Amino acid sequence: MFRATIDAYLLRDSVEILSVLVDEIRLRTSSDGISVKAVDPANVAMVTFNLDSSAFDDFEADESEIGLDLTKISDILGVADKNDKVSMELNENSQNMSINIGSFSYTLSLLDPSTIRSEPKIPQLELPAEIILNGTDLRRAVKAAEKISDHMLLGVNDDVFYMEAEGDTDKVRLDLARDQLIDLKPDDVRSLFSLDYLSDIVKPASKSNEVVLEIGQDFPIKINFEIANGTGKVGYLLAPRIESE
Amino acid sequence: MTSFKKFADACKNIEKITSSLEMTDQVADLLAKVDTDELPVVTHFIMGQIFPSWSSQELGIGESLLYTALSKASGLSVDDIENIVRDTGDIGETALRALSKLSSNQVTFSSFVEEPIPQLTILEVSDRLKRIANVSGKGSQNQKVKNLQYLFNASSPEEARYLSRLAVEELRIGVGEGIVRDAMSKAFNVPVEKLERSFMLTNDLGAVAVAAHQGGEEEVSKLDIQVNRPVRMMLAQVTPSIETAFNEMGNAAIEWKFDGARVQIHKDKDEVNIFSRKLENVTNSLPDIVESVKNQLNADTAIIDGEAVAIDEDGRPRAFQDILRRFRRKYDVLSTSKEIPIILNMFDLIYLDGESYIDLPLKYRRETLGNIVENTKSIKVDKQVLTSDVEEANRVYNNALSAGHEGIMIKNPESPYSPGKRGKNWLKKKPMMETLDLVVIGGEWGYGRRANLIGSYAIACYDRDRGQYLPIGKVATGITDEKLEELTSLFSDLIVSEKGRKIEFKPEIVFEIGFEEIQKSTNYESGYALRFPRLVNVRDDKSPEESDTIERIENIYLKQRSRNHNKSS
Repeated sequence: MFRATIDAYLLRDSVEILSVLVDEIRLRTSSDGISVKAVDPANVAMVTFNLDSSAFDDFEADESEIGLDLTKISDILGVADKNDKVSMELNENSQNMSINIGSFSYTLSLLDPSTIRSEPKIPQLELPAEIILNGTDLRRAVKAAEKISDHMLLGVNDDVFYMEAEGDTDKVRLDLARDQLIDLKPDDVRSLFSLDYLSDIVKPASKSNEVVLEIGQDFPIKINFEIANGTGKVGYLLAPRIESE
Repeated sequence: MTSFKKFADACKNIEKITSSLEMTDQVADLLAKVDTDELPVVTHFIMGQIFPSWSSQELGIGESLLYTALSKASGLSVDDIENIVRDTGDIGETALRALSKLSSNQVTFSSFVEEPIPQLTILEVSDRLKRIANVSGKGSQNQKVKNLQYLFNASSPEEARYLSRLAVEELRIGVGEGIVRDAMSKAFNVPVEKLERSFMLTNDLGAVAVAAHQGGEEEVSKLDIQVNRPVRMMLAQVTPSIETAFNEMGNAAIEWKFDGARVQIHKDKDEVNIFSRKLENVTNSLPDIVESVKNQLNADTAIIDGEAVAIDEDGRPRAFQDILRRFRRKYDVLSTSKEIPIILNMFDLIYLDGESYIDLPLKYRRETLGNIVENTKSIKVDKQVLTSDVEEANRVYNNALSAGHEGIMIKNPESPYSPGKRGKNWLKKKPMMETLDLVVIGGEWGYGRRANLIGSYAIACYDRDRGQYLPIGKVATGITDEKLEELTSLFSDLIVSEKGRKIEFKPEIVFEIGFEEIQKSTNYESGYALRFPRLVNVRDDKSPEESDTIERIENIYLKQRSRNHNKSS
């Protein structure tokens, strides 16, 4: 069974976090809350998403797996006001979910989870450098880079975290020293990432005051942050581009 | 589990071979090696197809989508990719070069997991491509690109050569239905005729392959017509005169040859589906016909062959273009159906209430058809005259012509319905000189005033065995400036590559070409050339595979020679 009530804005944020990478998800439910692990079709970016039962106004669930079409849910959420509550209930026999928002009631047909790409294996990575910064700083740097190039370098040198983008003719660089960051565990590393992905990922991350980046040398980046006052945890993992000279 | 690499290797070998026999052997080896569940995939892949012929599903990967995916997988810009395409003139070579270059390449998580990277399998490729065909709605372009990108990332440059060609559904290794059928015969020891017949009935070589593999001839023979899956239409040969036809046939069934579009009607209880000559589902554009069929066809399940004719106020046939306007309509279907009313003339019964009728004689099929249809103005079983009298046939012929139709059909009343065959049991007599339907494979930008227009078109006939188009000439006459503009915009989406003024097109558009004579020629790959070719019409209703074959060109050439011989002697 699955029955839950949640703030509309929080559900909308959650859908946005996931739909950056995929259209369809396998939602895992348990008495502790809900979780999703997904990888984008190109196998370049992954997301792990956990929302604790305490993030809900009302929550009751068994261990189960539900196949959801995110596009449909975000369409439905279009009618909701920021302060509306959304209540959902799974009808196990008819393979659909009732969703109530204010006076609207929807019946959403579910997807067969076996038709959705299976959960990815999350690679175990040792990433030497760790940077904690404000989400809006990260977003600003990415936005500046987008104007110039389609990829961007993230690195640490001495006690400075830098983000750099180089186009055919132009270049932009943002240096953030230790005192401009919330925290820094330095190491001499750098990796290059596609802005296709990074731009989408930093959008939801920018809403968070504390975003944790973990970087290695030509290695994937981890971008972790919390939502819903710490009751929700989001972890993106993005594979790098490798520069070949 | 067969890896995609094995398939790519096989393609590479086959591509180098010129002998059909050797090619058949290679394809047979491949078919014999793969697992049963991979067989339908490989059967279609090797011909550059993703879906069986009966399916109206399309992959929908255009040039720009493919370039974007290649750009993302290789790190080259889309401009770079376009430059390589211009250089190589082939998407396969482009993929190979782009992925061998790999500048600033996007890596995937496969590089960071401990386990060995699993090889890309044929089934995974098929699965991803089908996924691409199925996504729709908001963000679907992005999903398509990423799925392709994944495939390119997971494949070696050599594999990518064939992967990219598959993505545009053109493998270009010279393997067509004929070779696959012969290879199947060799691999599974089933007679070619049995395979051919089952293919014509099911339009699914994959299903035929599976049957052949699992149960040989017996299982293949069990494959039969299914309602809602189009059957290849039986075709007619041209007869030079009514007299010749009667000499061959004796007693004949004469019908009007309508100036319309061929349709195949499938009725499955309350559901009606209509397929065009190309076996495309055109049901949604013909709600009036659907309604009439529901009301006036007394059968549980049935497949019926007929001709849809657009008529004017006086009941005379309208221009062929008008009926195509109806077929292509997606919006305002109802108002167009009032503007261009269509009547349906039915002339053959292929299947009725669970029984295939194709092996029964025409006169019996025809009689049964008459019994299950309630004739009205909008749908009817057309008149048929059974006679051995040439004079009477001539009368019917003249009546048909004066009613504005094309001529007559002369059919053997005892003959079966032979799907996909252009045999001697159906003959057609038309007053017009013969034309050829040829595929446009290339063109050239014009000079001066016509510099922005494609002024000349390279045309080709079809080699069914190889699935290839053989050049037979160029056509540049019979085209007004206005028509040139129309054609230029029609072809601009089909450009595969350009070199100087020369353009190569994806073979898709069929031209009806008038000509004076067929000549032997070493200038063109087909070995023939046309004297005074001119564009008569664009045959929107024909698919490239339905264009005239090299065998037909040879036939006309031989007939022409014997005719000239008679004249001079």
